[in-house]
Amino acid sequence: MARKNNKKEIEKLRRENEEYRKLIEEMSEGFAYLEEDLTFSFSNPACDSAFGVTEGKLMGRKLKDFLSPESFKEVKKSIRTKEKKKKSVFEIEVNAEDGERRYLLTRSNPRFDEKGEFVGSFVFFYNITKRVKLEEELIFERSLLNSLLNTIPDHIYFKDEKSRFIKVSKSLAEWFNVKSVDGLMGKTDFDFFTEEHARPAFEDEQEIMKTGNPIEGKVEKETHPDGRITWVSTTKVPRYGKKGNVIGILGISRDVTEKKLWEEEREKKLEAQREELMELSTPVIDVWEGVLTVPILGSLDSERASRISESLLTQIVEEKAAVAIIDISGISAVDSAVADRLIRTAKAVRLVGAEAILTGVGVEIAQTIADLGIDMGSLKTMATLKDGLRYVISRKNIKKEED
Amino acid sequence: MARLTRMHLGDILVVPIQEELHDTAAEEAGEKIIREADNSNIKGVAIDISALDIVDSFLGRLLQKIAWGLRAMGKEVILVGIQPEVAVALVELGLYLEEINTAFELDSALEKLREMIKKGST
Repeated sequence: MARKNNKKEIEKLRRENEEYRKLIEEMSEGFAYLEEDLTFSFSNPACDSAFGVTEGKLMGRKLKDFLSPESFKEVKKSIRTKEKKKKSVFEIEVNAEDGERRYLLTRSNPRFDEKGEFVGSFVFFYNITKRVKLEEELIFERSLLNSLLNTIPDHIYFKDEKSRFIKVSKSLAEWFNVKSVDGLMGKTDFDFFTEEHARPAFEDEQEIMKTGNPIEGKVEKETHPDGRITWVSTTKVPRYGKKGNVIGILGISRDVTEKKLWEEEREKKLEAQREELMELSTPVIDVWEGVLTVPILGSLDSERASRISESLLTQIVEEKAAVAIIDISGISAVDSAVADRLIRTAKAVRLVGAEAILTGVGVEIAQTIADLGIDMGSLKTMATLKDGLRYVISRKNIKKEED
Repeated sequence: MARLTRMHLGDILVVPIQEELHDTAAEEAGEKIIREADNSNIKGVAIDISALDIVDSFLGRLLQKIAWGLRAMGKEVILVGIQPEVAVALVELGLYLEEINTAFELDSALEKLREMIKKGST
């Protein structure tokens, strides 16, 4: 009877044993027993594949062979602990035999003899390669982003839907004279600029978020509370959340203050040069006492015509000139518009109290004027400047004789 | 209404217009000038507008009308001190005032006016 029972008992134990074995073999986690010198004396298939060896071939191999020397030193310390019942959890980086590099989260359950000496350990390995790789990627990308934010001189800023800073470049903190980028978190343009810039910038951002239309290379005038004025070229784009909804904006602004000032300077110089050129192109010459002459060369557009009128009339009044001779022998072409302008100038001359004489009206120009059907009216015209001067001088002499 | 200064220099009436005149004020001023010229033995009128920086089309036309009126009464007229900007503006408005004589300042205006009166009477 006892014998029979014993047999049954053995059969039961055998079956249980078999089930445990199956459980361990089919486990997705790696499981192994490491001897005192960290040699594998047992391993399940998941463990074998994690270390990249053929099933069953991990037995007898040393853990040392799969780790870098430095990491093995650390791991040895963690596994061969002297503290009883101390489970330790750590990550190891395995140079697997199939050439792969795997990250295994390792849990060691040390075993001790009666004297409390370490004799070996049951170890679980969880393959966390994917997670670690993802983390590494994230860290790498983060470092890229950080290097961008820490080194690029352009101001880069991420804002939330209420235009509050959530991440900014170091350059922007420096721009605001704030020691650290953390000093900007949750703040807005209104904290660092005066209303004059902060308001339109805020409105731009709200518009971008509403419409999704970015702003590209907009030149903005920044007004600081200390009275400083700077110029930036700004590009702002909407930021989207996971569901495709707008959650804020991303902007980049480049300091163009120097360029702007240079441009303004250049514009001023250009304007001055243009004015100078205009003056040069419309010289009013004081040829005789009370006689002014304007030789008109080249083409006569409306701007030039009004400038000539302006400077001639001013000078007539200043010098109390009695006669103004407008010489058009150097003019390139006469059409009705030009003739009209000349006539207007001459009439204005008369209105201020002087006499206008148009000289240099050659045959061709006279014909053109006649063909165009323009009546020169009471305007005195002469063929050449010489004729004009002769007329003026003789009249002066007559006047003198009269006196 | 603004006061209108009038001065008699012999047979010449001098009217300096000191400020911009609008609408009725301008019309009244015009009437006053013509009446004043009629009521005395004035032979010539000098209207000095050197104080005006702007002359609009209304005032420009009024000056023309005054000149025509005075002419019809057999008086000589001269406009004095048209500023360059005013001259340009008048020309732009097409108001050439060709039949009215002009002078820079009162001195030469009086001289011219006397010449004109002399010529007219001979």
